[in-house]
Amino acid sequence: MQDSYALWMYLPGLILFIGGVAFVILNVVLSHLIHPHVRTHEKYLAYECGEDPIGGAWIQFNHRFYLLALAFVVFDVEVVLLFPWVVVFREFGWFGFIEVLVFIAVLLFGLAYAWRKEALVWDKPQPMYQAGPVTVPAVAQEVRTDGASS
Amino acid sequence: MLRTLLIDVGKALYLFSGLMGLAAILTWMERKQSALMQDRVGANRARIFGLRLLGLPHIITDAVKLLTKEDFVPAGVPTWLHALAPWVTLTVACLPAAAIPFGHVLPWGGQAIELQLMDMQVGLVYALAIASMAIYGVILAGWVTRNKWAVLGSLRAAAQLIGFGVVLGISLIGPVLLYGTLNLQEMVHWQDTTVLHGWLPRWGIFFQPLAFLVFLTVGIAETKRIPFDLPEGESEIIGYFLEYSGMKFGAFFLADFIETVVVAMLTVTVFLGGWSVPYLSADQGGFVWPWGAHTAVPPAGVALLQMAAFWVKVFAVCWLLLLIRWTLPRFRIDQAVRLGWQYLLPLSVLNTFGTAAVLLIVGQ
Repeated sequence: MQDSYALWMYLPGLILFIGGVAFVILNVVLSHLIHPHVRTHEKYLAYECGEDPIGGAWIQFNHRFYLLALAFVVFDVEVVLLFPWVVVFREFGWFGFIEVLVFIAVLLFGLAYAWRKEALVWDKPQPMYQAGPVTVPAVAQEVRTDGASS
Repeated sequence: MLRTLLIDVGKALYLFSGLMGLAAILTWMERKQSALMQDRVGANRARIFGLRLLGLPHIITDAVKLLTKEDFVPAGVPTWLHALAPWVTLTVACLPAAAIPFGHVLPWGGQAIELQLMDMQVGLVYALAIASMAIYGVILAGWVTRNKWAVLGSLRAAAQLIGFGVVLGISLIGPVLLYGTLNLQEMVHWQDTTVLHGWLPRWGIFFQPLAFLVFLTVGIAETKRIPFDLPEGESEIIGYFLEYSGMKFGAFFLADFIETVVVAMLTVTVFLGGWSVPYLSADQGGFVWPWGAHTAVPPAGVALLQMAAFWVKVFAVCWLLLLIRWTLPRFRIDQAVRLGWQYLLPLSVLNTFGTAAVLLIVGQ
């Protein structure tokens, strides 16, 4: 009885799931029955603001997405390992606290490394011209008396 | 057994219709609220028998319009994958609500009905796990439709959702340490009392303000709405659902609002006392006011007040999210990534250990 109860407990969740599934299917099928079907060539092209699409869509993408995904895997495992600690936090006391602190410190060191290597900076600015001291004509300096930087 | 099944179906229907109804009202509220904030009139064209009703009929006309618009699949896209994406997105958006208590117990014909779909010990972890699955629908939508903008949108969504998903988990560890449980119903019970000689409700927000701010920020990012609408970015890349039309687009559209409601539900449950009404105690049989007075309320009245309080709080948080959405402009992707990884992540880790240290010091 106890075992069967354990499974029954999830039944309302299953009903909600079925409700969500049925809602979409019902609406899409109903819409399919009543909406117009007019076939024109252009409609079935990929939409690129009216231009004919050139090349495929599965392009090479910015490698920073990949770096972020790597950082995510590391920190997601961290979160997964933190939740068990949270549950037994009161029994473990300071011992568990220090242990987890060391664990997090290692990971935060990794974050600091990624930060330092600018893996988390989206667009590392690479100016085309080396910025030097800007010389502002004396006339312009006199005009700018409102405190704005020259 | 049949009775239990009927109660289960009834509870699921109640929650589902609550989610859908609030999401539908939010589509109207979004337009009216933005109009108010921008000094416009807002949605007012649709009418029923000549009655404009503040634009409320727009909810119905939107549904009719989405149903009757042509829903086509672009050339070269597998039809079943195209249909799977909105399906996954909307279903997954609804599911975290199954762990959220929307009341305590309702006395019904000599039987106490627990007002929660699944009373799980790991309710919070379940909700976070299901919420993080939203990424599948988004990636699927962007990747299978073979559109450059959509692919860009889904990549951005991936970067944003997984980055903020980590912070979402860590930001909630502080409150969980405080409550000592992952069960959402027990969390609400912990908050269903008062401190400061009965004046202040013992809500999580008063003990974990930092976690509240971080969670709310990350919650907005998880719903992919302004100011974190990089995956959609209407004015630049349109979004991962670019190649969707008709009711399938409607499913994505509705899923966004459902996610907003679910985030509001989680916020209310963890930080704002869930279904608990300030000063109302079921054990004391009514309101116990801070000045010592007592107002008796029958048990069924207590249960109904608590159920109403839950929806009122959820609605208030949804409204707050709408206000934020119409106040701030969109972040650039580098700003969003920097905010998530370099500010919110260290901040929430700091909050976790600060809370743990304080609890250990106080506990000894």
